[in-house]
Amino acid sequence: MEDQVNCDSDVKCFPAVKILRILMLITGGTPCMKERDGSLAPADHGEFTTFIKRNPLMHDRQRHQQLGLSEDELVLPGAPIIYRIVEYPTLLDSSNIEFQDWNRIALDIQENYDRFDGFVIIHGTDTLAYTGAALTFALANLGKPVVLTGSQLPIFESRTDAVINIIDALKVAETFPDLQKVVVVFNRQMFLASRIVKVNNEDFRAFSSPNLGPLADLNTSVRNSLRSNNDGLNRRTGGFRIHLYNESKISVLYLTPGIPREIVEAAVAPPMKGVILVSFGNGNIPSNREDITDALAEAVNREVLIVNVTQCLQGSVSDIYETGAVLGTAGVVSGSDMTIPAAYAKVAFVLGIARSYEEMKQMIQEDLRGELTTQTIS
Amino acid sequence: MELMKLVLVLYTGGTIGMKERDGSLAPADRGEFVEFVKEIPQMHSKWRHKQLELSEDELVLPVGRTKYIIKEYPTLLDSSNMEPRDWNRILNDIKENYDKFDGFVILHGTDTLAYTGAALTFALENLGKPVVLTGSQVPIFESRTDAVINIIDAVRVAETFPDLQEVVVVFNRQMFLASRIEKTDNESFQAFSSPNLETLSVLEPSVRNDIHFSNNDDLYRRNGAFGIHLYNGSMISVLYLTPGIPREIVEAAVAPPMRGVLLVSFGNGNIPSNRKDITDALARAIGRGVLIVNVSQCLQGSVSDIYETGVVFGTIGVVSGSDMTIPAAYAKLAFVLENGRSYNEMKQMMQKDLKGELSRQ
Repeated sequence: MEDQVNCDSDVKCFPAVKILRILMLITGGTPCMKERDGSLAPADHGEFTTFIKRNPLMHDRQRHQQLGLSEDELVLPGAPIIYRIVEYPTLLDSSNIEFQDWNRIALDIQENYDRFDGFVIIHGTDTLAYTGAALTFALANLGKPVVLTGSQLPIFESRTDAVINIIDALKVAETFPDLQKVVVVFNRQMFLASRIVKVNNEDFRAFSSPNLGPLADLNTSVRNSLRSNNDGLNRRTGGFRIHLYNESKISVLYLTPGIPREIVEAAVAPPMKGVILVSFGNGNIPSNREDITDALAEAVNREVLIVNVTQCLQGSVSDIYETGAVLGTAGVVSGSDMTIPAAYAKVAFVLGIARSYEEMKQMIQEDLRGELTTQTIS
Repeated sequence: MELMKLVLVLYTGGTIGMKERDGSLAPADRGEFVEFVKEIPQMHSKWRHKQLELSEDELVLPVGRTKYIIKEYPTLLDSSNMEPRDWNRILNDIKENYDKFDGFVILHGTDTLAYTGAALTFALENLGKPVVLTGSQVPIFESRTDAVINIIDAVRVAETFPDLQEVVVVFNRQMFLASRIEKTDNESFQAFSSPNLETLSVLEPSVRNDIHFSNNDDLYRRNGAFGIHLYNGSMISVLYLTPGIPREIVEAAVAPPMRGVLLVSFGNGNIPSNRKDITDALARAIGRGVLIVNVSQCLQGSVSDIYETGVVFGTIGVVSGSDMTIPAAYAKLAFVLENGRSYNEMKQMMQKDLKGELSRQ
């Protein structure tokens, strides 16, 4: 209490520390849910924000008053952070998120880009990995942190993980002043957003980043173990801008033993323009199923973009096995160690931005934002 | 001299017997695998072989009471090429040799081992002996191989766990229920994980003989003689949800000739509630008698209907796959489509714990 009493001005509280302004977009998800008739549904508009304002861990009312802040500004206790919460008028269950919702978030970031030092997106966990990857590609020359987070339990429940996840997310701009990436903060860890998959429905540790270690562990003393993976590739080449997604016809072709021919054909047939082939092990498909390779090759001829990723959580596709080598010949592009969500968002991005089929294939294999590991010949 | 256990090892193919050729891995020549195993002293004791006056095709571990015969498949299969007819081949081989052996080991490629493991689990009825699947991440011909230890651990299961009457997977010093595993790592020796049921046993220097079955054993009690079911090529699609999934894909996945659909949904089994085209397509297909089973994209966890979007399913008749893995649900669908006598029985069988493949909610 004592230092708070002494804290009568900004300068005194944070000598030589710049105040950071963060915009928090509440898109929906479990954090904002309440139980109703045995089922979870979004809370009423404004309820979430009101609840946060009452929580002394999340908002310092005294400093808010001292700093003469406006009604819609909040102050993170003990940090040089002032944040604004924008609740989306219709809160989305993350299962309902589509391309237009990715665009909405990207547009909101663009519109507020100059006025804030960082952005926090509250999102349901179910499709958070897809949105995280989509934003990663859509935000070009990003110079500020964009942090996605959510929770496994609603903020209205006492055992909630929402409070700590949101606080950790808000603090990213302060803790990692040079971070200019789209990241995910969850359960005291920070990941590159394009690398995560939801692996657990029940644990507080909902996400894992199978092919790239966490960017940082947010322990009592934050290990600033920020890994600048491929920063050279992610260098900014101009001003911040966003890419908007069109509704893309992208199918996921998940291989199974004895997969019906009809399914393979439907997955690559018009109007599909992109296909995520989810193959066995190191990227293998049956070598004795000419119908599959024929269907893929025929689709490649029609310039359908087919990207091969693995069913394995961890690992990469390669062509060391006979069955894998077939794919290169057919014109299927290696997705390296991309996750399914990252590959899906990247195909949507590439279909919208590349100027030729060749460029699409090249972009898919390139490390655009740290989403894949460039393969080295061993 | 104690009674020896005799184990039949079916070598179906996979990395385990591969050799590098022109920069690519391909199966070694016929017979090469068995000859190589015979030369490895941990895997075969020539001295004991002679002393016990074993036949030409029998191998014997240097310690313990296990002897085994390796039967190499005439055409070795890359596991990516495995199909339901190959599951049948293995089933027939087990049936044909059921009385002559105390246990069975299937050497299999890791890529689709989870699918075959689940398929065998459902198809072996009233199994009274262990069936152990294993494979390796590095071929046996390479010195850093994991094949030697995996095969030895697998062959010894019948001796170590005399009461085991399940289809299991032995890999990297661990034993799992076969219908519970997924290949989760391409590069590590720990290729498999069993996300929703703990390891049956850890095969440490002293093997802990404390098999954990989370399920009641009496569920799987044998109520008749051993028998097998064979698979036909069932028309089963995997419908993997994505944000903004094209309508055309949903429709194709449930259209004739598909009879079963594995819906791989978000989180706790959620689908978009604002995509009437999806729910309509699913409901129409169910009306035509298509069996639709819901499992999660999450490695760990189960589908449930605590969210608004999940509740819709109960209404239209999508069946909950509980915490089944994709391979287990796929094999179970294939099994149920052929063995359920009515649509209702199929739905019931899908939700029931038949062989330990799912956790009852």
